[in-house]
Amino acid sequence: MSQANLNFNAPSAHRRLTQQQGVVMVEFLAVLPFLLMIVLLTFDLTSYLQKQSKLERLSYSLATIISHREQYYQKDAVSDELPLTQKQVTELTRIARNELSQQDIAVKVYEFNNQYTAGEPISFSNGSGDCAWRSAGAVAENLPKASNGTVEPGLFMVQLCQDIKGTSLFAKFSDSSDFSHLYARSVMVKREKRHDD
Amino acid sequence: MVNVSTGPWQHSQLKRAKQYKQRGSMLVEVAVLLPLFLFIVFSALELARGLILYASLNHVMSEAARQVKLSAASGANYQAKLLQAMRTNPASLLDSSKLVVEQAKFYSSPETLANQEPNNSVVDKNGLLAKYSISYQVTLLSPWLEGLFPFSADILVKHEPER
Repeated sequence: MSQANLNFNAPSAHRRLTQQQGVVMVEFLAVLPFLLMIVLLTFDLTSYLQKQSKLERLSYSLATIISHREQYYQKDAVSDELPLTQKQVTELTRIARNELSQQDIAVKVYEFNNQYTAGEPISFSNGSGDCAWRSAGAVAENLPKASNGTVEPGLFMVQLCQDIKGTSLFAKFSDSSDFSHLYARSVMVKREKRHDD
Repeated sequence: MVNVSTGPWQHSQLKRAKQYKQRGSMLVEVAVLLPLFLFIVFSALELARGLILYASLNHVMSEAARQVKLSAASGANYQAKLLQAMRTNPASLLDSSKLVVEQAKFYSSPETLANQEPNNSVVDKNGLLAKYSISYQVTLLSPWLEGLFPFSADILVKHEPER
């Protein structure tokens, strides 16, 4: 009789309390995948920023090297002119791959010499064909020009492309080519070899 | 009659016991989840701090390398110069006592650089290509983040020939 009274006096409170046990855990488990996704994307973004920063610094260094090439490749000179060659660009690519410890690095070098007036300049590349190289023609429009329309002084533009499909989660899950490669480029004035060297 | 007098008392006792039980289960759940939650929050803060330090390290190193390559002198101690330039940079967010120049390698041409054949024995380093490796000895609250942030950076510069 007393048991019956008790059941009657405490109708569903006990059931409700019992049912609420573990609610925090269940809610947390529901939110956990989103939390983990945010954490992983944060890692991805961090890694992306680090790689981009390294690539930009390297493109500046490579542009410096190629702009001083008269100091290094004098033996390749043809009648006082030192043309940009595939060998020079291949060496730059090897340097880039060593510096970044990654083989999926491509390099493209443009030369705006004193014969260049418009269109695509002389260029050599080495590496992946997947890279969507930015046209140098658009860059040339803003370059200083001499009265005869040629680019003065001579310039080099180094473009670097790094494939990150294998290392970036975001690149892996998005099909867009915008996220599968990193790009960096630097423009450097051609340095003449000093006659007193 | 007995039932009437003890019913409400028993009911309130039972309700209190359930409340204690509920409070206990909440406590256990919070105790399980709070460390995980705090770990995520502090890791996010550490990550932000790491990014700022990493960006500052890159900036300070680039500036210092540029300064050193333009002030080249025969047989000079480039590592000390680089360190000095980094330590005196007013834009630096780093603790200057934790900066270390790990390595300095010199190359006579792009070919030797591509072949990884440094020549540090050359006394006159003017006009050479130099690779400096800098590290920042930072201690993070989340040691696992140290794998994500190496807190080291390399820079490749060409020393200007002395005029």
